[in-house]
Amino acid sequence: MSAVEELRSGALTAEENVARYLEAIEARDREINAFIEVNLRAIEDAQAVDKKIERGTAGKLAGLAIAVKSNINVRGLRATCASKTLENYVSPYDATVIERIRREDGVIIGMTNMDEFACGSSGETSYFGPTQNPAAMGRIPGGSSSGSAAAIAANFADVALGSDTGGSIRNPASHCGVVGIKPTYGLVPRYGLIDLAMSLDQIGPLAKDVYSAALLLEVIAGYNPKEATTLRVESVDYTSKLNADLSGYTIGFAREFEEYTSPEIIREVKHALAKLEAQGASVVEVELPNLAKALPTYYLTVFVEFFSATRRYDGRRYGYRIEEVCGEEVLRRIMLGRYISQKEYSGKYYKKALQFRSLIKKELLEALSGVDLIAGPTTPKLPHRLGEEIDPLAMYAYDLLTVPANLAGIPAGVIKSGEVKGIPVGLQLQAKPLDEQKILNAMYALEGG
Amino acid sequence: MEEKEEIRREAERVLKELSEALGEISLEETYYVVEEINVTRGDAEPELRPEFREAALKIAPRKDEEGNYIAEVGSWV
Repeated sequence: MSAVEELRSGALTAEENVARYLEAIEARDREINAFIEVNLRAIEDAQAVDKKIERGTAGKLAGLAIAVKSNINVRGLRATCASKTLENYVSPYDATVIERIRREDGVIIGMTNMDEFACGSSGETSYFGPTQNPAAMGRIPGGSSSGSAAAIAANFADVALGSDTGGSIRNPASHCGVVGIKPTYGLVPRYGLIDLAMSLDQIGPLAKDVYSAALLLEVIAGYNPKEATTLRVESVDYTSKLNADLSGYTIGFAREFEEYTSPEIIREVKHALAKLEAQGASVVEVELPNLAKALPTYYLTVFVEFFSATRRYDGRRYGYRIEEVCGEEVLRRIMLGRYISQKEYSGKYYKKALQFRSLIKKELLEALSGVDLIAGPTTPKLPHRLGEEIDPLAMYAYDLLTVPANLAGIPAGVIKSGEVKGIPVGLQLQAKPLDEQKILNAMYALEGG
Repeated sequence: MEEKEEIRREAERVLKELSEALGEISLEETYYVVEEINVTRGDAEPELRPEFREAALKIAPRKDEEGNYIAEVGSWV
């Protein structure tokens, strides 16, 4: 029985649920390093939820323990972005997604570790130390939502929030063998998310199962009048429409995926495709000829937007001046962003990247026009060993297959499709804007309905 | 200092390689609008709405004769 079912049936109280996770964190997080801060009020919050359950007034997330990435503001807890720059920054307000979670009686269990300012794909660049991969100890958990994915894989929380700019939810979900969803750009409010690159960032759920991910997504999704970037979607209901019957679904697979991905990962992806066919879907080939251009397009865009976003960390209002205390990867991106942003170079790099972004978006939407979903690998290679020296460009290459969805603003989800040498491999499913339900249904079918 | 120099050299190499990987684009001019308002909208010529400018200027605390906002310079500058 899942925690959602146990809590709803009364077999488990919110306090018991939260207490068992706090015990697990206490016992094992020294080894995993998934959390930067645990919420000391979590038990008190859970007791308040239990009272609401008794009165019959509790919300959809009643009693679920929710871990939150440290770049999302939760009032009273530290939003450090895993950087010395903000090591003592205590959030004075709740992000919109947190307000919505509290309204539905979810309990925030703590703030998770991450790559510093979300700059990384391995979970190794945190000022608070690297995170272990609970599903493949000794390997990286992926990033940048490393702690959120590890917290789920280590059974430290029911669900978690991450953010995804170029794969930061999907990459660690794949490496840790959990479910992760990057929603359509604008579906989930970003108010209260500390940005990496505002035109690409989206908050999304990580979970043990598809139902829990769908539940958290439907709570946090929807229009926010505070933001010009949210879409006019008033409310969504994914959980009641979950359906493992994929009759009538057409799923595309691009030959280019095989060109850039290790054969052992492709083998697992093809097994998953066969399972989707067995559930009624038909699989066809689609073309993504400019897939390899997505990576430089993404990084040249991110450097500029990240440089702009970091100008507020000048040491006057928020902790330290970023350039004086940040890690190597953050500093590299700031230097590159500053250089590219100069008027004389913007045409050479940034504007060209934006033109490629238009091209990649057009190509992806055209490929999706004839199918319901595009299925493929999440990362081109297996996670490396923690601490292994990796060239920056080799690190960026982890993002090759996830960045197109961010550039195009489309939704994408990841679910474990198998293992290679005991290391989880995730299948990525991409869909047209606002077609999250189809992604969830296909993942639900793979999970076994 | 030496470490920062090394990061700078590496950054230059990263930029060179990414720029080469991107290559040249042979597209006709696109409007390269960053799709923030509505991701479902296609790449097209932006629509200018004069009434928005007029409404904004109506509530501007200060403006010049050419219809530009006059903003206060931050006291810390």
